[in-house]
Amino acid sequence: MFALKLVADGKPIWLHRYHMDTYYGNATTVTSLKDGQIDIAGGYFNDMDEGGFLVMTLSPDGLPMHVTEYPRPLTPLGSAILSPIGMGVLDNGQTVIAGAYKLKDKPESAYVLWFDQKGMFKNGHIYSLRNAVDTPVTVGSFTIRREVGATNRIALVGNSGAVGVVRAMNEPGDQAIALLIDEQGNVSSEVSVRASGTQSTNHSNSEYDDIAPLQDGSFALLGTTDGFGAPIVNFIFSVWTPHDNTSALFNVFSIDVQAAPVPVPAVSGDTDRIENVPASKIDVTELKVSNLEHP
Amino acid sequence: MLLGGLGLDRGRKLDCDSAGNCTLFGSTFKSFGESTDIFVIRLNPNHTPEWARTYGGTNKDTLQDVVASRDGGYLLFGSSQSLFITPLKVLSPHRVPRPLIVKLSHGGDVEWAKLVQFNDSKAQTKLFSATQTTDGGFVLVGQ
Repeated sequence: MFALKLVADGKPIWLHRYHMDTYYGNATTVTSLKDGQIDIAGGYFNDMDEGGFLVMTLSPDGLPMHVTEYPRPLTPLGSAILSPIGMGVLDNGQTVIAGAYKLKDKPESAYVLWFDQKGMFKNGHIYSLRNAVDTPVTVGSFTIRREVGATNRIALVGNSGAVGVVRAMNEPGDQAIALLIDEQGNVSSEVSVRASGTQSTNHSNSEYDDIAPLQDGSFALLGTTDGFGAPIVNFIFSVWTPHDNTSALFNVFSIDVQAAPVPVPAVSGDTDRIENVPASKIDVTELKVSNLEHP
Repeated sequence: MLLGGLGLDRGRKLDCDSAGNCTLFGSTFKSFGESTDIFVIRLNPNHTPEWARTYGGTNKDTLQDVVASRDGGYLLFGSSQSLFITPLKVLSPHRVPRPLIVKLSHGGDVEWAKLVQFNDSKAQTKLFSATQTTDGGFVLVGQ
């Protein structure tokens, strides 16, 4: 894994690679802390399918200050693989990491982990879709986008297999889901949409890929769809106004993870490898777009 | 609402400011040209498109993620197979995918762009995430 620092005008300042003995690592999410430090979360693994995820705090110069690894937690359903996808800092200083949760031989689901202001694990929850046999169904592409305000609720979006039927992603009947999670890890509001139409799913529609808060308390949602009258595949933009409700879709499991500090040395890289591209060489084309949605 | 053209337009990231303007980011292929480009649409608070632009080089350019910067602009990053030796796409030269970083102003103009190239790396280099630091710079992480 590596980290690269650019100043505001794009000039590279430092480039570091981080090595873990006997493991491969990838840094999947990064967030900036108030004191100039940087938190990175990622996964580590080896050829024997062993590994876990780690959280690394870097100094403003990109050097590891402390690194904590979290091997696969053992849950009532088995050993889990947690892949970080998003990370943020709440108003109260807690760090929240969201990602994909995978049990061996079972479909993917989602999780959120809370850490206190000292970076110690506080609590974690798994959100698996409820169905007839109470097993998780496929959930992916969760994104953490909101960690704000008095409620400190966290909004996640993703896509899932149809409730009650375990499906591969992107098959007809899949649905997009968005949910709000409170500080206790409970789902306080949720919404789902199932793409209309019967088109082939070769186009990987995922109607809720990202979420952003609006000032009136609602959320903007962006994704990709081949339904709703799209000629082939288009952006789909929608607005969600959450209303508190008890989750009908999700089972929530608490999880615990063990932590261990690990040494991860940094090796400085050559910032000459960062090549300048003149702005004039980027082709910028002005376009006219309008709402394509069928009435 | 549906936005794009008659090809493949994939929405990936969005950011909404305090005034309610939302900027949508993704990629487009065969809606407005033959090569895959980064696609950005700005909506006003009534969710009406204000402007839309594609950004790219001679070949395939795709978006991974976006960071809203404190100057009102955006840092876009993803993968590029373009050479950027010319703004024209007619020759369509390409090379292996490399991380591309593009800084846009609030109005969508390109302020600067960078390519990351590790010649000694056997595996493809990818950027996964970025953040703006307290000093106004940016930290990007990847594999």
